[in-house]
Amino acid sequence: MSFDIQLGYTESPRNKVSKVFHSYGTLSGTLKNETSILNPTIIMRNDDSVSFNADTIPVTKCNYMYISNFHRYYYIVDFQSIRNSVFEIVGKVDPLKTFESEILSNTGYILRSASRSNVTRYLDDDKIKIYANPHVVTKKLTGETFAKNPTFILAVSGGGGGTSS
Amino acid sequence: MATITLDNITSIDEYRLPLNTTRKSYIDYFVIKLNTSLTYSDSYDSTITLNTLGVKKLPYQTAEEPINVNTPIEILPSNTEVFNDGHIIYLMKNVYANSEANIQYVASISFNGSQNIAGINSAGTTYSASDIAYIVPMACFLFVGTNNYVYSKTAGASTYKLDITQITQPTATVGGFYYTDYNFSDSRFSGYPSSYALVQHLENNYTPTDTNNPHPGGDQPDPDDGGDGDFDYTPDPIDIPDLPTVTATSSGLVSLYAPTSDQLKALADFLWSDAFSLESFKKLFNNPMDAILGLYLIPVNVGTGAAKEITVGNIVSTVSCNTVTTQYVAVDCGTFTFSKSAFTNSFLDWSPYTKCYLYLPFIGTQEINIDEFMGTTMHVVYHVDVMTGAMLCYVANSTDGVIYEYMGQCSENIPLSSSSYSNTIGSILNAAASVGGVVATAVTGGAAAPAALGLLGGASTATAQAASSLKPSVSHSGNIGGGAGIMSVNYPYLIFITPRTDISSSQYKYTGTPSNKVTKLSNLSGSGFNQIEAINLSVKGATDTEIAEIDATLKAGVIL
Repeated sequence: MSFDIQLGYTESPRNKVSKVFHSYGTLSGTLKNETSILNPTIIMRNDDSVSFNADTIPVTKCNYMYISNFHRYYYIVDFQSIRNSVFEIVGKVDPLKTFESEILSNTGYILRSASRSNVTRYLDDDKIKIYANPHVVTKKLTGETFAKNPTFILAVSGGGGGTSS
Repeated sequence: MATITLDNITSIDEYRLPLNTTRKSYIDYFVIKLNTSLTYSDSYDSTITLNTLGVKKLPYQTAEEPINVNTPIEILPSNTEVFNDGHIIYLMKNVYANSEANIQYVASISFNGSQNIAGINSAGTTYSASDIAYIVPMACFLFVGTNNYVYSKTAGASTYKLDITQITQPTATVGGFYYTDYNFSDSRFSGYPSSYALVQHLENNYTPTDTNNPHPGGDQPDPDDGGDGDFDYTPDPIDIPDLPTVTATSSGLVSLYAPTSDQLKALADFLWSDAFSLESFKKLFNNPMDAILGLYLIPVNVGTGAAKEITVGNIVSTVSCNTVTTQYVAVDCGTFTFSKSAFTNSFLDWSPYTKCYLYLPFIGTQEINIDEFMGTTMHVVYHVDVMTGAMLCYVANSTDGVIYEYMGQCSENIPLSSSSYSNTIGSILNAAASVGGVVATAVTGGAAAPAALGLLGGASTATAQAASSLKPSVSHSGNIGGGAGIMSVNYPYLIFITPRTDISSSQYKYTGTPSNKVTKLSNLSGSGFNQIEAINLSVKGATDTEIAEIDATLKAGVIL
């Protein structure tokens, strides 16, 4: 059974949920026997270049694809030549892009976030690097000092008490 | 249409409006009062006059650019489209509530002399304050006279979000803001206050409701989970005590004088002169020096009274000198204010990352816990017993009062006989031996500290903490008292050792910063890197393998 494969590329990081998929166009292919929906191998009949919308783009420039029959996005992990004009595309499912909306509707306990709202400055952050040479700062208190020239004190027995306290 | 500047702001106050005492739900908000009235109107709203800035509507919705009311407004790090500015951003903080189902967003808040709050769901049903029960991440707007809002959207997105980074930059100090540092050519903005500048002003003048947690990030704990103890954290300040009023000299058996050098020489001459009646003196003492209890130097300004003849035992000398009027003297060494935002305005300003030492004259250098002084003013006061040289140093903060007390000795005895000279030398040698012991202990303790804390080789060791803890703790001085103290620095000072950080300006985009929040992941969409600590993942249509991969990726860190 043949089905449509939307071939293209993505420049989004692998760990990005909302990847941007740039599609070159759609080709048809068949699923190789004994393959899985998560890691499919698809047999395609064509030469080294694939025509998309009047542009000729080597199929090896593609790194991403969408198969509507499987409702899934895939990374293209390999191209394998079988014989003349027949090659295989080895894919691996991208569950992040595939289930983007479902993932985003989940609620979770966030450990770290790049969101600038509500930054919590007073939680320990082990990602902050510190130099070996710390700041060493001295600060004076603003007030009285002890006398530089001390006072003689003579304590004697008797005298009826020398103080008035 | 009124034009306002920061000069028009008479006060910025923060309030907490309790919503539900059982759940500890509340909303923190600012109220900005003006000395002028604002009148606002546009094609969407009737004329409104305020003298207190309030929130008009959230979110703002027009026929041309519909905003998805189900999407909470959030602050984004970047975007591609910016709409007209001209509004002061009202930062609503920490809106807590108890049921997600009841509330989609806070629709309107009025500060016109009353505290009203209402919610509205996507169907348009309104709710009262008691119904609002869910954490609503939001920022609200205060309008200052233009009819557009600072919304933005990412390319291709259908929703508009507030973008704080795209708001105009301040171009002047408080009181003179205007738009020049932004690519607006619209003359309507001339003379209007910069939103960004005012936000900065709000933040700089913001006094947190909870001073122990000035930047709260976590949600309010559920009472069943603990964290809701009823201990009263209001301190009972421990005041520095008053000086004693009953003294040794008030007995009349002991007298204190504050002689000059010349007066002491004259006294010596008198004691060994014929004028000194040895016969009558011998009825009480063996020799004249027995009646002299002590002669020493003391580095404080003692209170002196009228001149009086020095009386030795029962013999009145011919030497007159000032008497000491107070046996106990207070030396107020002053204050130092510890700003909470002193160094990095982060956890690194606190222990164990920042170490703080306090040098105290006649006592030495003591390590203090900086946590006990952050946000307060340190006050150092000595109480000195002029008769013995004994001293007590009180170190207090402005919140709790006396935190530390240290004992010292500030007098330098002047030996009057061979035996007292031997005692003086002996005490100095003992003090020196004591200093050596202190240093040895400190060095040993410093080297052993990391292992004792379990920091070496620990996989979960926090980098900054590990580095900080690995630094040796070295004693800066031993006991400095008596004669040595008189030669040392005669005022207290602080030594701060605080981390020198290396943080790239955009590092947070790759590593994030600690969040400690529970939120829907869509609320973080567009923010960049996020790492989820725990999630009960529900993904319709995904295989078990896919769910496991999603779960692992979310916990390792994803870009949402």
